[in-house]
Amino acid sequence: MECGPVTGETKKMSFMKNYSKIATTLCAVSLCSACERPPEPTETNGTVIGGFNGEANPFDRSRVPVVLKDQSAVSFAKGSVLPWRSQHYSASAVLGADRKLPRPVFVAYTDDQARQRLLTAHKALFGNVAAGKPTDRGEGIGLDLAEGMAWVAKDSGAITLRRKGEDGISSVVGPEHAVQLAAAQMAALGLFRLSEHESLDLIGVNATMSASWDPQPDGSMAVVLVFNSALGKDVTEYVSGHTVIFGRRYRGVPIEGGSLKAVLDAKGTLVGVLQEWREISGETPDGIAIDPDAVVESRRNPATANLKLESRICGYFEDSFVGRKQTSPGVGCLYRNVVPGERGLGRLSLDFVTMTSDASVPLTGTPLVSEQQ
Amino acid sequence: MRYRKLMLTHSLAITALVLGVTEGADAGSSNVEHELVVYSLKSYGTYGSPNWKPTIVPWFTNMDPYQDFWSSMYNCTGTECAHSYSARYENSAVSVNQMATDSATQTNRGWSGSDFVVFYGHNTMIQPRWQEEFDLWRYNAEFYTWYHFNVPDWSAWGTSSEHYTYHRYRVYDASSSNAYAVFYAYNPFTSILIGKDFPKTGDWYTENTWNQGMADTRQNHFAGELEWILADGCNAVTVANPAGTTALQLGVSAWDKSWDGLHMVMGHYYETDTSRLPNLGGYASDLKFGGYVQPAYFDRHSCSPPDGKEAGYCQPSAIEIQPSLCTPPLCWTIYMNSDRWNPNEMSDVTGDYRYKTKWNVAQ
Repeated sequence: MECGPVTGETKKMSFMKNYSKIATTLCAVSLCSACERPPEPTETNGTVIGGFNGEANPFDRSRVPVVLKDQSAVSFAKGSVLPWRSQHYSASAVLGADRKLPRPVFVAYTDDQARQRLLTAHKALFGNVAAGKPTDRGEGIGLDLAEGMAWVAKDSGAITLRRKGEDGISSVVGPEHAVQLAAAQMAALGLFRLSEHESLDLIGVNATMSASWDPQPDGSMAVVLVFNSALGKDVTEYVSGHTVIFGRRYRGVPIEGGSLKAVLDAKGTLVGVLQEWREISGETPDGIAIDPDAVVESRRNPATANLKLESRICGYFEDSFVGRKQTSPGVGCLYRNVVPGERGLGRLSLDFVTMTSDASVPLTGTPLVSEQQ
Repeated sequence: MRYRKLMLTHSLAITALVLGVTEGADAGSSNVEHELVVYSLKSYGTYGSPNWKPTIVPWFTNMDPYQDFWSSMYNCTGTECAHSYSARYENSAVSVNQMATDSATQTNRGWSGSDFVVFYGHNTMIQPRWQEEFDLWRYNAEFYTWYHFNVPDWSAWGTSSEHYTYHRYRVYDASSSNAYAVFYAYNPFTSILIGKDFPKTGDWYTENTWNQGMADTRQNHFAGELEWILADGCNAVTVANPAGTTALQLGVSAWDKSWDGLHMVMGHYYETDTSRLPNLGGYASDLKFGGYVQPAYFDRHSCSPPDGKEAGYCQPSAIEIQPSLCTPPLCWTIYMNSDRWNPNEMSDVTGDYRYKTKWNVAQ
């Protein structure tokens, strides 16, 4: 985990210290007997809490991290190692005696600044393709492009870029290759800078698969074979693109909800950029007071008390819809409780509760009131 | 896209205003290629215990497309916005009759008269692939009874050994080459069944409540008006196995029976949950700023399956139609790379056709 220097008032916060206490702390916060809830998983499927190779980082998934090769990508990520994010963790594990987390502050863009950012972003991905005149459409400012999309959310300044790419069978070989390509090309765009205490991690890599079907006279479907030159044979389905989902951490604690996505076409070229987080300008001097674990636990829906817990995420949260206004990430816990006998959208009953009594750090954003309106 | 739509009359417009059905000052555009309907089911009707279908709790309220997605699409007036006669329906208002109506007004809007249908609720597909026990309501001559962990094989559902009964007529002929996509409605034991409802030609019958005793005859089809359907629940667009490694014909088999004038259907091919569905508010902004309908939907997913779940968990999928002569690599996709909400100007595929499927899978 990459940790920045602790300065000023934040010296009071010792939340990141002493990882050797993590196991003890997690045991203490489970409160199983107090609320008569079923025991928590340590990590899903019984994986021991902690990171890869025995490193005690509660926020890392047990998966070999990606070591970046490209130097510009290393600069972009502020480090050469990209860990995968765990899906079961608690920031309580790194709280110090003062039970405070730092309070990051999001950057707020004026409409003029957002417009300028849009033009810069457009040039970064579309090059010399004419941008035209920016258009204000409520929650964002965008360009009318013949071969793609470019818009920037008001207030958050978050960028969305997408253009057509090469279709067909992907030349990208596996998730690590996709991460290497994505990180290098995102770095080359020059659009994103992490603040002093931010670091990158990996939420996931998704491959886009393709297949084709021909209807038959009897109503059945016949799959269309496609020649894969790399394999030297016909295939029925193939990978045609990738999406790398980067996450970020603030002083080592993940910020859930937000992400930065890089979309690669079949040739591995960056064709899409989705900034679904708000930039961080700094932090307030006083931080966020985290309520006692028992208080946080008491906010859960009593109806979930007897359900088995699939996972619990306790940390920072921001609204993934960047068209909503948020000044700081909230701090909360998302509990995924398994409903017996159900599948699909009824399989989980969610508890999403705040970890603080400070009402000034809500877990989600609010509708944007644009300058235009 | 049908090249001309039925223009709404002044009298209808005046009626709508008198009834006070417009939502806010900035309520939709005059763009008749942007007729949107959103159906959102969080709670379902009751019959006994448990509920007919389990309650759906969005991660937080505004993630429901009834909220942010709708607000972004409708609370504006430019040509990129949804038409002023677009509509949204929630919970008890999401009935079979509401979805199957051929009406296309704001006060009464169904699928067939809309450009874009967004459904947020329970979906599935028969013939399902899972060979495991499951629960269901089973009809026993006079009433329904809940069978809890007593039905041995989900993969038999919709066959002669375990009829699908949540429809006007029982379904017992489902198979991998004769599948049906299911959109559960609010009223107990009712559903829209793609492949059964909205056939390409001819009449069909729907039932709005399980004990109605009388069917409604339908003649409206997808032809022309409707371009995109988004089934934002579970596996209504089953184009791959749960691991995402193997293409399945299930989805195209189901949708082909109703496909007429559609450009694309989107959704998921396996399970998902509400904490892993994207807030479609960002998707709405993408659409308004000229984003491609399918890639934008895929891109907004930030899905990473939990440990122990298949790699297809919470991952999006889509089906498009294309001319059968359009053979890779000359033509890999038609709509998926080009079809936009703004502007909505691509014409329908006619003549011989084939289907292209896409899905994401976690690596």
